Amino acid sequence: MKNICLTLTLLSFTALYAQDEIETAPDQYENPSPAPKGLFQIESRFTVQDNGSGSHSLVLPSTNWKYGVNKNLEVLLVTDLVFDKTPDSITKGLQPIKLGLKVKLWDGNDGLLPDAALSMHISLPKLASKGWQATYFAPNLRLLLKNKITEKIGVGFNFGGIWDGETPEAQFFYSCSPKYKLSQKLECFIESYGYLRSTTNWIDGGLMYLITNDIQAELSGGYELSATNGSHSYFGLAGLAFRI
Amino acid sequence: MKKYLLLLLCTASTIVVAQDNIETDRPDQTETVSIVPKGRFQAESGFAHTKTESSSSGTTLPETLWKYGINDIVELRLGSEMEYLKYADSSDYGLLPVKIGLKINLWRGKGIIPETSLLANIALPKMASKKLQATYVAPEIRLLFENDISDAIQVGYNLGAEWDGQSAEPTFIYTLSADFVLTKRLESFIEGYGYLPQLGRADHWIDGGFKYLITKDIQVDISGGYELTSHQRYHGYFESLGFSFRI
Repeated sequence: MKNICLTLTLLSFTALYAQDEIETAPDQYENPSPAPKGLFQIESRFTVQDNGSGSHSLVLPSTNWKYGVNKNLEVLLVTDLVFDKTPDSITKGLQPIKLGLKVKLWDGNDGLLPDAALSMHISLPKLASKGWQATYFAPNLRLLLKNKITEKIGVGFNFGGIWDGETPEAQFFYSCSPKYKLSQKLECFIESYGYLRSTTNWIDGGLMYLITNDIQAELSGGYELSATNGSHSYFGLAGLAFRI
Repeated sequence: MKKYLLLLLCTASTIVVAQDNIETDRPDQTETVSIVPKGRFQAESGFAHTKTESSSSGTTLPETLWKYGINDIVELRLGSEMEYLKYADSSDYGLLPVKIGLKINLWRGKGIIPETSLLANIALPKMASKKLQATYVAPEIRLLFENDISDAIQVGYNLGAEWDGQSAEPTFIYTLSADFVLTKRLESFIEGYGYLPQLGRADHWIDGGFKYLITKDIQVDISGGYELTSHQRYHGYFESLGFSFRI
């Protein structure tokens, strides 16, 4: 009886520990862990971006609405409210809403085998403000990988294709995002990411602070290494993520 | 104690039966929710003759889907299709763009909740014979569902979208297939399916056929289909023979 009690206690601790801290970051990388089963996770991020030549974008905000269906599967809805200003035009409002799934493929080990998941989004072209509507439904497919190096250091990789609902050519995307745990509450990341068709390459970095295990505040900034029309874009971001 | 043993035996035998016989995506258009068992290869080959217009036809010689079970919920897929296309005044022969992909089981079925899997494929435009190459990488996404109605009847249905590597317009796909177990080795199916371009005109088809298990790892199939919609008053049709095995 004692043994059973001990096993049960250990098991429940493991279950609690696995669900312990909210897992997300304000980077471009998507991590392979689905939201815990039965929990809603909401991630809202505000961005100010300078695109050079008098062009600015404000994201007010971009929100990921996630729900853990089971331990391997998360459903997701993405709403992006974007104000985009160029010298000739202003486009504002809701960009096409995205519906998606994240499915865990396998758990990694302490060696080279990473945690792996597949993320799939479909953007709904007419569920958007008039200026942002697209012509066609468009998919976004990504392979999400993560290696745990030590208790404090993890490295994540994404590879994928993003379609825009206007052209048949995909924008291929890569991201490499190492993370380092500074303390129990504070974590930082530095990331390199880019888009291959338009050959734009960026770096960004930021901080995540756990207010509780279920609430996280975020700050980050990014800089474009490649130049468009002689100028480098850059952005600053502030975000809040929580789960219920 | 006897009761428990009986229950255990029953459960064990259900599991054995569930994994026992080869389960294929052929010959219907509904992809099965089942994943190839972990560590096993499965190949599904088919020959088909298709006529969708009075002046042209296509012969598949053959198409083969190569699958490998990575774990209990994920299968890796590679699809190759050799095609002979005959038009009124010319013809093309060769390999269509190779497709690679994953099928992932999302959850098991229970009561009215269908067993559900996700299928994601990418067609590689340049991995094809010169004349049959596409311009861009083309994705295909499907959700696969299956309900067991009784021991002898299953209903499978798919919803999805595919792109062709030439245009940004997706074609939506639906399928609904009823499978009937006739004997231990013989199954039949009848199915309705269709292709709905987002802006273009839709095609709707019906098909039916038989699957026969030679052993639990080898299956042959025969099927045929008829287009309910028509192109210039011409209804398309196809007939197909298939052979599948796993090792």
